[in-house]
Amino acid sequence: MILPNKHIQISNSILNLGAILLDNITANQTVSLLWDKVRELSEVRNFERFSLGLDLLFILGIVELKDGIIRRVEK
Amino acid sequence: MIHSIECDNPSFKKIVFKDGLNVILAERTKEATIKDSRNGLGKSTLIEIIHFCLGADKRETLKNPRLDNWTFILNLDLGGKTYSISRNTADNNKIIIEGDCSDWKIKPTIDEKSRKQIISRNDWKKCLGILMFNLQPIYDEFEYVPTFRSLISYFIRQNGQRGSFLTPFQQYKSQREWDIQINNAFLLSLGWEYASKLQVIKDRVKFLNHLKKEAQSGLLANLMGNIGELEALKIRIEAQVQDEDSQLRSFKVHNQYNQIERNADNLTKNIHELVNLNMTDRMILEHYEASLSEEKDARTDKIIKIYKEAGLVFMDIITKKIDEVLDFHRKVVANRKDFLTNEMDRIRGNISRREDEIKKMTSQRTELMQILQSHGALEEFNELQKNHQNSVSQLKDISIRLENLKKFEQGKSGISIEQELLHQQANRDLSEREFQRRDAILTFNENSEALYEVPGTLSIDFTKKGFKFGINIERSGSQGISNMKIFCYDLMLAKLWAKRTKTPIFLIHDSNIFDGVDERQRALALQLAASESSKHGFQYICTFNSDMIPQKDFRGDFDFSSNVVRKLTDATVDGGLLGIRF
Repeated sequence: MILPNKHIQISNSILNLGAILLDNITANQTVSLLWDKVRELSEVRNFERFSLGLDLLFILGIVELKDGIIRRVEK
Repeated sequence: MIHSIECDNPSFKKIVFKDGLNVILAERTKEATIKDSRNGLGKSTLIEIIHFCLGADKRETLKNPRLDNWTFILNLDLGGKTYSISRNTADNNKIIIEGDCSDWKIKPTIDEKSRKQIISRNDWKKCLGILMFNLQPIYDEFEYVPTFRSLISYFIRQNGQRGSFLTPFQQYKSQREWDIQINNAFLLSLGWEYASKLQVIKDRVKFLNHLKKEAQSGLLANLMGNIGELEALKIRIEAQVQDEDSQLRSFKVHNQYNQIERNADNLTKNIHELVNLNMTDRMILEHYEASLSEEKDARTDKIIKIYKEAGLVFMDIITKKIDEVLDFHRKVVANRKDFLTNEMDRIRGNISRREDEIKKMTSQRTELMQILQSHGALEEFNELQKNHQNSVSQLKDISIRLENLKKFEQGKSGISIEQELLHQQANRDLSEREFQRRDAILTFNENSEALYEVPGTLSIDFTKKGFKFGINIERSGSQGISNMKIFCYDLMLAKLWAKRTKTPIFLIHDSNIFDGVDERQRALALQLAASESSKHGFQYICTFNSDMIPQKDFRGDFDFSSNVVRKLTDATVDGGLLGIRF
């Protein structure tokens, strides 16, 4: 699911989705703003996949949600 | 009969007249230059003085300042008594009369200072009319009447310059047609009253024509304006006036009409803006609602599955516990949902606030529109009023025209009946006066026969235009003949009137009447005047130039010189009538 394999193409993989989302996370965005920004992309497809993509980025400690703003975790 | 004429100025040559023929002879001398022509001798002045004493205005000569304050005295018979008439050139409205005036209808007053009988010029003319021509005061009920001044001018024709010798029936150039008809008819004992009535009708025709012209001119000149057209126009404009009137009555002026109009316009603009905004918001709301239903949440098992998979793939870097991940996930979803519902609430709030505003503005606008509907602007009212006034004056104008036109039409038909009736009456009257007519015609015939050995014709008719007089003498043509026609006519009038009045009539001719007349006819005319005047008892007075005397053509027994009552000469400065030259 995360990684592409025999059944899942790269474009359908969550990893790919996470990369695209990360690309779009700039300063000071709400979840809705980010969603509205990326919802038309073919890799995103729906809100369920969008939220799973964000989950992955959180699991990996790349993004966090603070005071309603989604942002990259500063290292 | 005139006995004498004199003057208070001693240089004046007193002239004493006798019965029958009287000649005032103007003598030309060799010494006289062209400038001192006989015209300066006073022939015309004599006639002017007689007219002046008989109530005429001062004419050419008597206006001269050298003759100011001269008193001329005319001694004459009136109604069987002798009178002395004095009139001063300066104080010329007072005529002094010496003689018995006790039986006069209009009596002179006694002047307190001089104890003399005085009469005003107007009363004098009336008295003379009664005494000489028997003019009755009852004539005053006619609008056009014979007058003494006009009648006497046929017996004392003035000099040629006034056109006294144009035709027998006219005694001055610009004499009006009615004046000619009435006075000649009176002199010929014809029914002058018909000519008078006819003139009244003519005046009415003139007035009616004027009315018609008025009715058809001006505002409606393009419209021919017969009665039918005007009636139709009147009805149309009457309706218009009524309509405007009721509009004006119900018209309510609002002082801030224009302001209200602008406000209503602004409200409409604002309402449109709000409606547009709501439209946009509703679309957004729809979009959000769709999002809310479409955006399904990921199931927890899927999150756990992704967590486990991440643990396998990125073993070292997983620092988050599963609970933390689930918590993050819930927050993300909750944030999104909160955002959507907040936004939707905000938009809904905006929409309903705007709707309230729209409602408020709409009702405001309705109020304004009601005012605008029931009221008008002052300018509009004024405009309406101006139009109304226009229509009213137009209606008035048309009504007057219509009335005039109706008067014209009614009058016209009435007049043609009256005219026809008058024509019949006058002709019946004329045929009843056959004796008078024959008398005049025969007398005229005799006169013309005596001069030209052919009977002339005097024709008297009453046509649609009134009396029509005509004179014809065969061999007519030269100026001489036309003057002799006047001579014959005047002589006839003198003969007729010698029979008719108690006042012996006189006929006075200026030498002009003999201008261009053949010697033979001059001689015959003088002889005829002499014989007729003594036979019928009137006075014939004429002025004559000495070089015009047809000595060879007189009958043997005719003594011309015995009839000369005064000689005027240019040989000396004081040889003229007035005794002075200017």
